[in-house]
Parts: sequence; structure tokens; C-alpha cells
Amino acid sequence: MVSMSGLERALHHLARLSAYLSGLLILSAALVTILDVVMRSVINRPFFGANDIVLYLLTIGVVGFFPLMVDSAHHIKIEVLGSRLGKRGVRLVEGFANLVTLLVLAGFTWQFLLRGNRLASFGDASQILQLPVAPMWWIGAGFMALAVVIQAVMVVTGHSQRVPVGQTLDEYERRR
Amino acid sequence: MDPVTLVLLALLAIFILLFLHVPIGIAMTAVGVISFGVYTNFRAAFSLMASEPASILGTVDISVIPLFLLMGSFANAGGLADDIYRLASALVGRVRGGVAMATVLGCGLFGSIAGSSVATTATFGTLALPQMKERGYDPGFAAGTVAAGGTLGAMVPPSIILVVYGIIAEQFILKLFVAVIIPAALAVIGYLGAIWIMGIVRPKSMPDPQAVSSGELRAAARNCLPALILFAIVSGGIYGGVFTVTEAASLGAVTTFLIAVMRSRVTMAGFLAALREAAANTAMIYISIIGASIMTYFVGLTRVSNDLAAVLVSLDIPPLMVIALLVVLYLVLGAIFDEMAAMLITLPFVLPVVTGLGYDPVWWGVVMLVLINLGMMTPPIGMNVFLLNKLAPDVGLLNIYRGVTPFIIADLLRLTLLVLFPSISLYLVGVF
Repeated sequence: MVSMSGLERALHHLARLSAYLSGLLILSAALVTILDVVMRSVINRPFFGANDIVLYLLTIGVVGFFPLMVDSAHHIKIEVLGSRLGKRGVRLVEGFANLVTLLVLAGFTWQFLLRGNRLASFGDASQILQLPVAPMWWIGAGFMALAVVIQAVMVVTGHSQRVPVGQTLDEYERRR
Repeated sequence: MDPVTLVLLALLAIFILLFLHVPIGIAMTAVGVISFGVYTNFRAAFSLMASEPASILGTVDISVIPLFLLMGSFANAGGLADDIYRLASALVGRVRGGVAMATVLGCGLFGSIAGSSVATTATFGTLALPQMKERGYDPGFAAGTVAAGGTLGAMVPPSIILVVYGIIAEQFILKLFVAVIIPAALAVIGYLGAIWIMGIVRPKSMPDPQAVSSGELRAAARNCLPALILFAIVSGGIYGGVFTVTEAASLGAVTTFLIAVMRSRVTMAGFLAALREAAANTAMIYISIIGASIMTYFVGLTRVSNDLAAVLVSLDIPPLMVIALLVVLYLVLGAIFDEMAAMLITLPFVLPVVTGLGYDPVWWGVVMLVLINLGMMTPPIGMNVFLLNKLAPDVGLLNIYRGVTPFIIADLLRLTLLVLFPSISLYLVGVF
């Protein structure tokens, strides 16, 4: 097994950091929802703009999980051919799969950016709080760009063995 | 190119990409965008890569996925599964096969918090399997019990698979959760029955029952109180009409986190690991839904599935025969693919046919869920069985498959009932 370069380590930590921050955003969205329920039932008044805030937090939060998914290669995959291909065959197939994944992720990033630009040009805003929605897509594009860079490094280096989500980098290297 | 050829080529391309190890969400996105581009134009096709994620991320219902996944991860880290298992053991431990029955009941109750089959199997594989083996259960039967019980994680609401189905099939999540109540109860009864029959047919596969003192039962009930409160908040809140599914999921995620912190069961490392697990699973499910939704959009535009349904109706083939053929198709597909993948790939094509024949999409969602769960246990790719083989390699894959056979038979009986009598699933939907 090949050891990770400094760039790969940095990207790995960035992917995890973005997942932690996104997790906090999602928990915050849950708190806003609870607060809205409590306010409606106790003081008979809703949390003003709760839906707008929840949508913002959830959209950014969920997209912020994508770099971790890519970094740990945590996908629904069917590996029917598996070891029958031999080492070289597996490398080739994995290389192809990684390249297709890279192209699709790059496509998402490009389109997220375009959507953000389009919404900004129209001046689109959320329904209640009138929050501009374009930044939500620009931030999403930023997270996707991080996923693209991680995937690109994977394509170039051919390192398909990833640190599983349940392990830290230290644990992974100790077990190797 | 005519739409039928294009749709068939698209389906073939997805299968080829999947065989070449391309992740399902990525494969469906790539094929969906290219097919749509060929059918209309590529400018519109590429724009689907933003418009579909936008409509999915903007759907309130789907936000329950990260919240339920967080709830399950925190519940695991907070040791709630352990408490549930102890209570179930204290309750039914005194009957023959009691510990196996406790595993099934524990999985069912934990499923109402975890929402996922794999999470429930992994949790009870480490929790219940060693105890069952230690008490003298046949290792294959013990592992088979956990593999079957694990499927209750996906069967008992809140079920992540049902949420995914609801998003793609555009059905109300609450309706699906209500429709699955009786089938989930039948699953539990079927598994308990399978254990009881095994106790009669192969008495050596399990030890003699052990008495449980009332003191042990009281202590177990006391420790399990947080899990029961959580169950009451989430399931009671949803079915009692107190909360929407999203509100219950929010409350569940935050409450589980607080329970774990207050009981000092979760360290910072454990919290971060739980967060990572939920995060990676969320992204994996979202990308799969986005891919499936792009494919659905393309197939819907061609109207090929609707035309196929019209042809089937005009052929005068009994609808039940078409459904039976689809069920067999899924059982065969399940032998090659992961069932969640099979559902995502085929739903854009199959659902219009099912609804075109006059069946309720909510009922089909329940049937799909049972089929997916069956696939979790059946060879050659039974995910739960594989997982248990990883957790307890000494048992042996073949022995686990042998041990899970009584539960597969129970599930096949349940599937037959649900297909023949859709009202089993739909009765409560009409009542709520």
C-alpha cells in the first residue's frame, strides 16, 4: 500500500473539517425547527423565517458532506467483478470509475456555480427573510470543488484505498 | 433516435457502468444527462445537474435523511442499543429461544431509532451475537437471527429506504410510514414464529431457557427509559399527529445527542466518528437520489414507461401476473445487485407500469421495502450476512446462510400476503 502525500493528507483533513462544520449546520437546522415548534405551541407565534434558515443550513450542510464521501470513497457500488479481474484489471476498472466520478462531480460544480451566478443576476431571495440565495449555491460549488480536487488527486495517483469514515488517519496508518 | 431504443441503451449503459465499479449515483447522473442531451439538447441536459439537486435539496421531506442518520449514529454512540437489548432479554429471556427473540425485538425497537438495516445489523452483531454464542446457541442460527433482525432497522419506521422511495416516487413520507406499520409488525411476528418453530424442529440449535429475576427486569427497564422516551417522541409524535416527520426527526437527532452527552457515554472521538458516519451516508444517499431523479426526469420525458404500461393493460394480462413477474425480477436482480441499487435503477421504469396497472404507489413502496430486506439476507449478495461474516468470521458464510433460511421463508410468506392483499398495507393509510 502506498503512503499518502502531504497534499492528500491536507485534503483528507479538509474533507473531514467540512463534514464536521456541515454536521453542526444540520444540527443547527434541527434546533431552529425545534424552536419553531416550541414557539408555535407555547406562545402561539412561529419562529419568523424558520423555513428560510432551515433550507439554507440544510442545503449547505448536505453539500458539505460530499468531500468526505469522496475522500473515503463511501459509495453505493456493485463490485461483482472484484478479484476475478486480477490486480491490474482491478486497477484499470477502478481508474475508469474514478475518472467517470471526477467528470460527473466537475459537472455538478460547474452547474452549481452557473446556478449561483444566474440567481445572483436575477436577485433571487428567500421567501420570508429575503436572504439572497445565490451565495448558498456558490458555497455549495466551493464544497463540490473540494470534492473534485480530492477525486482528481485520486485519479492521478491511483490511490483508491481510502481511510474509512469510522477511522482516523492515525488509526488507519497504525492498522496498515 | 427513437425513445424506446434510447431508453434501452440508457439502461444498458447504467448496467455496464455499474459492472465497471462506477458508483450508482454517478452512473445514473452520467447516463441520465447524456441520454437527455441526445433526446433534447446538451445545454438543457447539463442544467439538470443543478435543477435536480436544487429541487431535491429544497424538499423539506428529504431533510429527514441526515437527521435520522444523525439520530441513529448518536443512539449507537450513546449506548442505547445496549439498553434496549438488555430490556428485551429480561422480558423474553425466560422462554425457549428467548435470547434470539430478544435480539429480534431489540432490533425492531432500535430500528425505530436507527432507520437503517446495516446500522442495526452492525450494532446487534457486536452486541447480541457474542452473547447468543456464549449461551449455547448454534452460531449459524445466532448470526442468522441477527441478519434477519437487522432488516427490521429498515422495516420499522423511520425507514431511510422508504424516505428515498418517497422522494423518487413523489409520495408523502408519512403515508409510507403508516403503510408499513402492519407489515413491520408481521415481520416481527414472522421472525418470532421462525425462532419458536426452530426451537421445536431443531431443539439443539438453542439452549434451555433461563429464569430472569424481577429485579433484573426493573433495572433493565429503568436503564432503557431514555430509549423508550426517544421512541415515544419520534414514533409517538409522528403517528399521534403531534409533529411532522421533519420535526420529529429534528427532535430525535437533538434529543439523542443530548442523551448521549448527559450519560457521558460519548467521547469527542466517538462523537466525531458518529458525525462522519452520518455525513458520509447522507452524501452517498443524496447523490444516489439525485442520479435516480435525473434518470426519472429523462425516462418520464420519453413516456416509454407509460406506453409500456398502456401496452400491458391492452394485452389483457392479469395485473397480478405482471406484479408477480416484477417481484421475481427483483429477486433475481437482488441476486446480482444490492437491492437499494436495484430499486434506484428500476424505479423510473417500473413505477409508471405499476401505477398504470391501477396499483397504489404507497403499496408498491412497501413491497419494494420487503424485497430489499429479503435481498439483505439472500445469497449471493446478502449485505447483512456479509456484514456478520466480517464481524464473526469463525461462524462461516454458509452457516450464516443456513441460519437465516427460516427467516427468509417467513419473509417470503409475508411478501406473498402483502402482494395478494394490498389492503394489509393500505388499511391504516385510510384510517390515519
